[in-house]
Amino acid sequence: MFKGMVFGSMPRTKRIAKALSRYQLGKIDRKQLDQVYRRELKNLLDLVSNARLSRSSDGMYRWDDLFNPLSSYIGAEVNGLKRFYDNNFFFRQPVFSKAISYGGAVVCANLVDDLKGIGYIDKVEMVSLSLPGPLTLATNSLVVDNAYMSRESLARDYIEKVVLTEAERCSREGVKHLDIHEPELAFTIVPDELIDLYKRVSELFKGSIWITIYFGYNSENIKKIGRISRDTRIIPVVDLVSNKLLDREAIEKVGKDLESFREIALGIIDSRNTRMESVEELKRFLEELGKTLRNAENIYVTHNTNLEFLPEKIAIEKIKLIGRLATEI
Amino acid sequence: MLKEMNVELPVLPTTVIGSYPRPRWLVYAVKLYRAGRIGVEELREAFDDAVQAVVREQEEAGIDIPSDGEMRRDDMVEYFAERIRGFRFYGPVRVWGNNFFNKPAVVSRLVYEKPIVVEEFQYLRRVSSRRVLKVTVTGPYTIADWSYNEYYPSKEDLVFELAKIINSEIKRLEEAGALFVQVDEPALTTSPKEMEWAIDAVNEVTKGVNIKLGIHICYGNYELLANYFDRLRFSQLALEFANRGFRDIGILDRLGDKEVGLGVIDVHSRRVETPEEVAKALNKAFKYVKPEQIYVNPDCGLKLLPRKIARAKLENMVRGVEIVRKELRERGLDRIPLKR
Ligand SMILES: [Zn+2]
Repeated sequence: MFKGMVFGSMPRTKRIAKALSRYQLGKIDRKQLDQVYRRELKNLLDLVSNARLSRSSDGMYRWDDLFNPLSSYIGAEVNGLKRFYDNNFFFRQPVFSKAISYGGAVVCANLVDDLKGIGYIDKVEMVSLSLPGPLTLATNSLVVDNAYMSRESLARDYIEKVVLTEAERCSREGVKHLDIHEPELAFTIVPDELIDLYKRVSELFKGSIWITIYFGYNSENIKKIGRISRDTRIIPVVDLVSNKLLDREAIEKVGKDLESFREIALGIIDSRNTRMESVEELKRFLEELGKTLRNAENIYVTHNTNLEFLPEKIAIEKIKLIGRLATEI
Repeated sequence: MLKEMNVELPVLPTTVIGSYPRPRWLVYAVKLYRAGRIGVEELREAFDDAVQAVVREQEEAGIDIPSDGEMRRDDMVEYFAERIRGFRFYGPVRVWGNNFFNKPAVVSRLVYEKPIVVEEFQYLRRVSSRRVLKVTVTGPYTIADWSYNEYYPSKEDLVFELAKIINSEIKRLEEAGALFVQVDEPALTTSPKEMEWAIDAVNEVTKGVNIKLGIHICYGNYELLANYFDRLRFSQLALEFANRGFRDIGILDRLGDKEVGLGVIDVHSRRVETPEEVAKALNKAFKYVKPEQIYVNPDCGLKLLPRKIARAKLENMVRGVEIVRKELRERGLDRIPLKR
């Protein structure tokens, strides 16, 4: 069965940008700023519902980039700007000079408060919580003063102290979807140790864990995740656009990689190009690929990476397009 | 081999990369224009006045080769995309933090309809007392890299098409009397796997041009770039070194007979470098290149600095150059020819 979904960050709207700079100038207070964030969240959830998608992120409106402001909550300092993979988008690099310490599940608490604030707490089951993936965070951070001996040890500590804390709180609050952003998995083979840690998160979390891999496609990592997907509710979100895997030749290859999954999300709408896709072409592709994914109970149609790389009005059009695709097949 | 042009400059010519802080009143005028409260004629007058002010400021600081400070340009890509047919704007996208950029989209075949910056150059020439002036144009790779491509089959096709357009523009500048054009390509080293064809594409802009051409590449991967030094058909590479603490300066020994526009002023720091620091940086560079091969400039455009600091930085840059010039003069090296 085909369903539509949205994940990751949405374009920061003019309203938020303006409110933020007014907040920084002391012209409005925290409460007024929160109201602006919440209005945008409401707009997004209405848009997603109208487009008949089955789930969405919260748009990550409170995030400056994938790592901030979270990194300052977990004891990291923030360094200069770094390019976010091959995008003309820059993030503030987290710097770990001591081990992670995390007081409470701030991200989940914000999400639940925001949903309550707009009277949408009944939608909690369709909104995902977004977190940077352990390998992506560890790769893009700077470690100083021997705070961690390896990238893996930082990744492990982050899962144990941050991801598990958030997952546990999400379970209590009724959040059913956890999105782990792991673009690094498009490029680096995931260590087995980390796969075991994903499994641990899924044992604790009463819902689906979406491992979103973007800016590329990596067969080997998808197969590795496939091995644990049988006993867990781990769903890969794969980017079929960046490596141009949207033709007949790709169907066989991609179909093989994904055949073991019961649930799978296919990023086939390009969120790094404003050109609108042809619904008919993509429908044909999905129907063909669907035939090879015999184990899949749910196939989610989605975009390949954060919609934030698009101007707002194009992002909105692409969400509607996802809805059309999912409902018309 | 570089060719001498019939123009002389003091040894270690001082210059800028291009942009300069807009005077506060110009920022205000632009706002008024956008709000519909002043007209296009008044805005143009404000731009003209601003160019006069910042050219004067550069000349007073002792800059040998000033620019017009790019007073008329909000953004280096947007400005060109607005003036080439085939681009469309859908709205801003975020670049970092709360900073946005009007990212253009290529929606049809690109057409060079009319000159883009020739009038800017003509005005600059009218108001400057200097013989050699710097005109900057945004390079084809950077325009493409910072745009959406809805039309061309590949990024490569788009970059080559843009290269033809920028080449036409440079020829118009040559006809108008420009002696020195700098192609800005900050994005050039972003994707190592695209470098091979990207170098060919930027070289396209130099075809049939007989004036001095420089290329500016900043905050990129210089080790990677150095592999392509001999293939670049530009007589000068304007590179940023102060921000990286002069790390990588060793790549200059691979420059051959080309010139370097040596970035000695960090534009991302508000601390004003001392003349002695500038002199020290030059002496460092002398280990790898001859003094005759060096132009002196800040790392990058100055536009994000407070105007007072930008000016102070230029003044100290020139003072630092004077320290070194004195020593060179004693060795009989006083003036150098402009080369292309
Ligand atoms: Zn620059």
